Parts: sequence; C-alpha cells; structure tokens
Amino acid sequence: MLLVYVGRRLAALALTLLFISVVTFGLMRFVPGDPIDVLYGAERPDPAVRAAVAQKLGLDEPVPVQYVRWMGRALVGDFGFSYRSSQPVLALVAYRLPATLLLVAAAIGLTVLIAIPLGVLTAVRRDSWFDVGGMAAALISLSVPPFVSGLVLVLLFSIIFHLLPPMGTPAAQTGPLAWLAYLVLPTLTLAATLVGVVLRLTRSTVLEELARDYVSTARAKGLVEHVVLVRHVLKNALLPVVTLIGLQLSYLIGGTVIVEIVFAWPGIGSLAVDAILGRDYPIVQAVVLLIATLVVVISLLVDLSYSVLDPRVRFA
Amino acid sequence: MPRITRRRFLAGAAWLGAAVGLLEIAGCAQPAPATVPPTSAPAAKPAAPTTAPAAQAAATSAPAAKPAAPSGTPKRGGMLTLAIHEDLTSMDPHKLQGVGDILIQGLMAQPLVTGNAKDEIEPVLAESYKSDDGGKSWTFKLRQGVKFHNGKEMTAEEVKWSLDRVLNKDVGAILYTVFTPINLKTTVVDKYTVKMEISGGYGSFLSNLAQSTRAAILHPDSAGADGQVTVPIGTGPFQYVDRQPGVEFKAKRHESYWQKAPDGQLLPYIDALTIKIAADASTRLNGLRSSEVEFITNPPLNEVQKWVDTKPPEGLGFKKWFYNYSDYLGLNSRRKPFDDVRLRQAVRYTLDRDALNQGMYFGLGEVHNQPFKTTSSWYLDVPTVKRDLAKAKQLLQDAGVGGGVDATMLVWSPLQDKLAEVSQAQLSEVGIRMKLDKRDPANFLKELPSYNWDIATLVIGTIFHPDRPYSYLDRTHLSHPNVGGYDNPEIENLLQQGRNEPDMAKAKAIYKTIIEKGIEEVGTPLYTTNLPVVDAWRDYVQGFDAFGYDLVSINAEMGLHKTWIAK
Repeated sequence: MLLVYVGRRLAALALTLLFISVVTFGLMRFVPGDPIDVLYGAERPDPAVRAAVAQKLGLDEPVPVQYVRWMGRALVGDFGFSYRSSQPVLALVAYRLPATLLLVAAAIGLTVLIAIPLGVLTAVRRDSWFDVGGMAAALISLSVPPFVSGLVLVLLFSIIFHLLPPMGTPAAQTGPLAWLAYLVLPTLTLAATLVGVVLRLTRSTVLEELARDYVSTARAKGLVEHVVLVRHVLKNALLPVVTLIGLQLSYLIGGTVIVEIVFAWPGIGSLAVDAILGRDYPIVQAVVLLIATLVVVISLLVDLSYSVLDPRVRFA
Repeated sequence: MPRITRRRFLAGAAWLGAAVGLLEIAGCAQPAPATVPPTSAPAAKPAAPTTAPAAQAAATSAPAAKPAAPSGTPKRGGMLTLAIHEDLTSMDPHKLQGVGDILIQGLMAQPLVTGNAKDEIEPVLAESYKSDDGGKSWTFKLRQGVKFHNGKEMTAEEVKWSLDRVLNKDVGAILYTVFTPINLKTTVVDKYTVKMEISGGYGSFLSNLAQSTRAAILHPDSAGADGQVTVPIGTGPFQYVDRQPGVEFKAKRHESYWQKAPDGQLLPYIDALTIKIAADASTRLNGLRSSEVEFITNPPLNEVQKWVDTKPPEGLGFKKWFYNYSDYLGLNSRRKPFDDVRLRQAVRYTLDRDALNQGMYFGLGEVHNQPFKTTSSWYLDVPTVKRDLAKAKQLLQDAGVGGGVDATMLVWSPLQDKLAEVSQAQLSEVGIRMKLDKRDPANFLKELPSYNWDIATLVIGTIFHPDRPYSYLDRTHLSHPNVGGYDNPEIENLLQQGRNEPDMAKAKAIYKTIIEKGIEEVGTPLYTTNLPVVDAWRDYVQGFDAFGYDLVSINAEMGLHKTWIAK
C-alpha cells in the first residue's frame, strides 16, 4: 500500500515537473527583455553579431522548438550552458545547492530545537510570565525582517566582538568547524523569523490537545504529567506543526535570497534571481525544476511522516 | 510563578499607559527643535542609498581625505582577499561590458594603449605608435619580451590575431560594430611591428583601442574550437585560477609579468587574489571591518561621506576618485511633449545638479555637463546652465503648457532610481509631472529603442574620446541607440568631422560646437553628475592608488599590481 502510494506520488511529480517546465519556459520568454541585450548592455550589437549570437544560443528558433530541444537534453541530465558565464548549468546549480541545503537544514533544525520545546512549555504554563514572554518573543520574531536581524547580528558578532565572519563561505579544503563559523549568523537570521511561527502554532495545538478528554483520562489513570505530554499530547499536537515545518522548508529552498545577499552566501536563491534579471534562461529553468522537485519530495516526506506520528493514518 | 489574571493584566496595562502619557506630556514641555528649511526642496525626499551604484572609478580630484602614502619597503607574497560589487558578464575580454568585467578582466588582459588620468592616450603593450598620414594608418612598435600567461612571447602575430578576432562576427566582440565600418586591417610588418589601416574614425581610433580590454591582446590558445574564450590567456599581472560565477574569482601572480617596479623588483608583489562577489555595499563594508576581506569596492556612500568629513574607521584606508562615468537624461525629441525645444530647454533650466549630487551621492559626485571628469583633457570650457525656475516656467508658458504637462520617465532600475526620483521631484516644481516607469536592465534595454518614453535615465562610461558618448546623437552610428531620437544633419556632420579629426586641438573645437549647439537645443543628453568611485582597504594593504576603475591601471603610479600586504 505504502509503495503504491509513493509510486503514485512520484508519477504525479513527473507530470508536475512537465507542467512547471512548460510554464517557466513560456513565461521567461514572455517577460520583456532579451538575453542578448543583457550580454551587450547599452553597447547595441551589430545585427550580424546579434544573429550569430542568437544562433549560437539557440534563440533564433521558434519557442516550441527551443522547448523540445531543451527538454530532450534535460531528460538526459544536460541543462545547457549559462548564456553569460558559458559554464554548464548543472555545475553551477550543483555548486550552489549544497550551500542552500546546509543553510536551510541548519535553520530548520535550530527552529525545531528552540520553537517546539518553547511552544510546549508556554502551553503548559499558560498565562504565566513565561508564556507572556514567549509570545512576546514570537511576536518580535515575526515582526523583524530578516535583513534587519541579520545586520544586527553582524554588528554584534562580527564588528563589535569579532567572533564570527560576516559574509561568504570558508575556503575550499577547510574543516567542518570553519563551515560552522560561517553558518552561524545566516542560520540565526533565518531561524529568528521561523521560530515565532512554529512556536505559536505549537503552543496553540498543544493547548487544544491538553483540553481533550483523553488527557483527563490519562491523568485520572495516574500517569505523570511529562508522560501525558510526551507520549500522548505531543504526537497529536505535532501533526500540524510538521505540516508547517514542511511548508517552511519548501519556502526556504528558494526563499533565502535576502539572507544570501546580506551574508554573500552562495545559494540557489541568489543564483535564480540573478539569472532572472540577466534573462539567463537555462539557469532559471534548471533552478525552477530543482525547487519544484524538492518541494514535491518534501511534501511527500511530510505526508509519510503522518503515519509515524499517527498510526491511524493509512495510505490508500 | 504567579498566574497572570485578566484583571491583573488590565491593571498593569493601564499603569503602563499612564506612565507613557506622563512622559509625553513632559516631552511636549521641551521646545521643539528648530527645523532647517531645505535649500533646494525636492518634493520627494529620496531614501538614503544603501548601495553605491555600479560606477567606474576615475581621476582623482583633490579628495578631502588623502590615503596614507605607502610606507615601508614593498613586501612580496601573500594572498589578498577582495570583495567587489559586480561579477563578470563574460570571461572573454573582447566582450567586456559591465563594471565587473572592467574590474576583473583588467587583471588578466591588456591592450596596446590606454588612457591616462587626463584621458590622453599612452602606450601599454605598444612601446610606441605613430601615424604619418593623418590617422589613416598607425604603426605600433611592440614592447619586447612580454610574455603571455602560457609563457609564450607576445609578437605581432598575436596582435593581428586578436584584432582580427574582434572583427569576426561569430565571436560577438563589442568593438565589432566600431571597427567593421572603418574597415580595420591589421598587418604584420615584422616580429614586433604591426600596422593598422582604417577608412574612417581617424580621430577616435586610438581611444577605441584603449577601451579597457575590448581590444586586448590575447594568445590564440585562449580560444576554443568554437572561437570562444572561456579562459583568457593574456599578458596581465594576474592569471586565472578558478571561478564560481556570482561567488568568487581566483587569480595568481603571472610569474613572467613584463612590468617591473621602480626598484627593479618583479611585479606583482602579491601571490594571489581571491575576489568575492558581494552585491550589497553594507555586506562588503562589514567584511572589511571584520577583516574577512581586505579590500572592497564601493562602500556605502553615506559611510564614505563620514570618512571624508572626519576620518575612516581605525585600521582602514580609502580613496575616492572619478572616472568618465556619467549619469544623464535623454529627452525624446520624436514625440510630444519634448519635440518642442522650449520644453527641452525648460528641463535644462529646472535641473539642479547640486541637489541631484546630494540626493544621489551625498554630495560625493562631481557635477558636470559633459560625459568626462572635469580634469579630463576633453572637458571643454562650456558653462553649465544655471537653474532658473522662472525661466523654465516662462518657457512652458510660451509652449502653451503653462498649466503643466505629463510625461513618462523610463528608468534603468535599480541603478538609476535615485536620479529618476530626484529629477522627478525637481521637474514637478515647474509643472512637468513625470511618471516613473522603472524597468530592470533587460526590460529597460528592450524598451529604450521603442521611443515609447519621454525621458530616459542612462549612464555612459569607459570613454577616452568624445566620439563615443556623442555618437548617441548620430542616427547612422551602429553602436549606440540614438538616445532621444535627435535628428539634426548639422550635428551629424560635426560628429563625423570630430570622429575623423586626429588633431586633438581641432577636435576639441568641433566638439565644443557640438556641445554648445546641444545645450542650446537640448538634443544633447543632459549630463548631470560623474559618479564617485571609492575603494577601501585594511591599512596593511599598501601601495594601491590606481586612478582608473580597473584594479590595475597600467600607467598609473600604483595599482593592484604594485600593491603589497604589509603584515
């Protein structure tokens, strides 16, 4: 059953990617602006040069023909070359993707470590100063934009206390500790926004579960409070939280561009934005497909996790 | 911990509100601070720019804070880490287009000639050059013993190959549109002598050869089977090691670089460069202040203003200079309202360049009315029209639009948002109501030739001769869009004369006439400010004092190739 379910979802993934590729391909060509103009800036190229460059880049063919050619190559893993750097798109994306995944995983991991325990505690100690403080912290987390929190963190930890590097990534062949140092500030910046959302939802769902009859029954049976909380309440309360984290994860894959700019972090968000502005179609297409794939896979994993949290969930 | 009840919470909130109210009352008892009326009141105050525009550096004009003179003996070795604001557009020096190209390509590839601080042409890879027939042909004697990055010597053959490559349409070189119409022909005379013959553009030819690396001399092994260059093999002081587009660029010393220091030491001093790409100015400055990087381009101008007024933060050095890189407004004379010369003149009388400079660059730019820095040999004695709102309004009245007129400004966004916003505010003072049509670069470049706009914001740079910027007025010039759609056979004839005049004094007279006529009729783009270019570094980075925008200015006293790390 599970295998059938996974198989159906993966088949749907293929159709989804096909649809997305058509839409992206068409949209980019509808957006005003020519890649050749970007290559030459205000130095308008000679018509003969423009024609030669268009032919070299395959832009002289009808759009459907361009799409078919691109799809044919993409199916065998060839996503073409960047119009600007002439480097293989796959290599460009492969360089940037690990940096994005590392940052996103770190941010989500930190968020889970902070927000879920705090959410549970604020729910358990409802209406206490701890609860009020927790909700205030969540509100601040939601209110402060990432570029503001990022700059404040840089000011404190890099400029004033000289503890952490403010930008970039470590040189090649450096160890994990060096990477950790560069990761801290961008991770804190991302997590600072996420914590508020997850904390509030966790608190809300835990409060709902705490009010249910089965909790009263469990207490009446003599179970200690932390057993009631961990073994019974949390499993039910975490279902919507897991969904939220999955959505946040999907959003972050392509949505870290502000943090990437503030910290000069080489992720796929800034690669995509730069490619869109530069009308570097092959990069845009590859990144959009990659993000779509990751989002669908994450969504599948989230759905599968429900059966772990709630044995009543079965896949037809 | 006591539980907070609803009653207790409301009581606490009430006390807090009362306390805040008392503080407000106390504050109102203080006299209000005096407000300083604006001296040139833009209706819309632009937000302080946090990122410096992508600008090109150029000639020094008495900066308020001079950098410390290099101290100590140059020290060989070390790796310098830089952060710059723009990446390469292409690895091919002949396709140099953007600021990132100028910064990085200049490290690796060099031309035969370049422009000095006053925009006079000087030899680089050419040891000398001459023309005996009024510029119709030029003989270049090459510097001997110059080695490419692959160890091979530069000879006339490589020069011919490089210039012929520029003329190959399949390559897509920028100067194809400049050299093809003049039928450039390059001939090898002997191992170290090259002759170039042209059929026009006699006056501007050398300046086109000097356009950064667009006519750089490369070794033929640079080009792949398809004729494209992905790794340039040039003669520059640094050679390519590795690159991640949009992230970083690595280079190492060219061990056989031809230029030597005055003390006879081999150049460059530095072993290697790591150039990080950081688009945000604050990010670059944070990197410099934390010593994560040691040299940056274009720090935030609001910070630079403080450094100029007082001093830079401890441990930092900086310099501000000017290149020929100008903002300007192009007026569309093909359609209403600016087909009427009176309205064009009204715009001219309305613009307050000082206020533009203040609004865009915190006053750090250089106000001018021509596309050259004011210290350039090409900056001519043509007075700037002074702001006169009464005259502007009268002109609008005479044109029958005394009640005001609506128009559209096509804006190269975000590069020129500030120019657009400040000039929009100024023009509104006389009733010219501009609607801003902000477009990203690709969209802007597509829209520009449509003439479906009334004013366009633009920049011009990398120039050593007036032909290039003023060719924007020439309907027949292939390289540039006819910004403004100006159609004046007399001006076009003058442009042709100026382009073909090899004598600088005579050429200046011609261009002075063009500018004066342009100012009178305002077909000329309205040049407003020369962008300030600033570099900053850790104080142990010694010896950098290049005047040009590229990090290696061949004929300057100092440059990145003469920089050393004194630690």
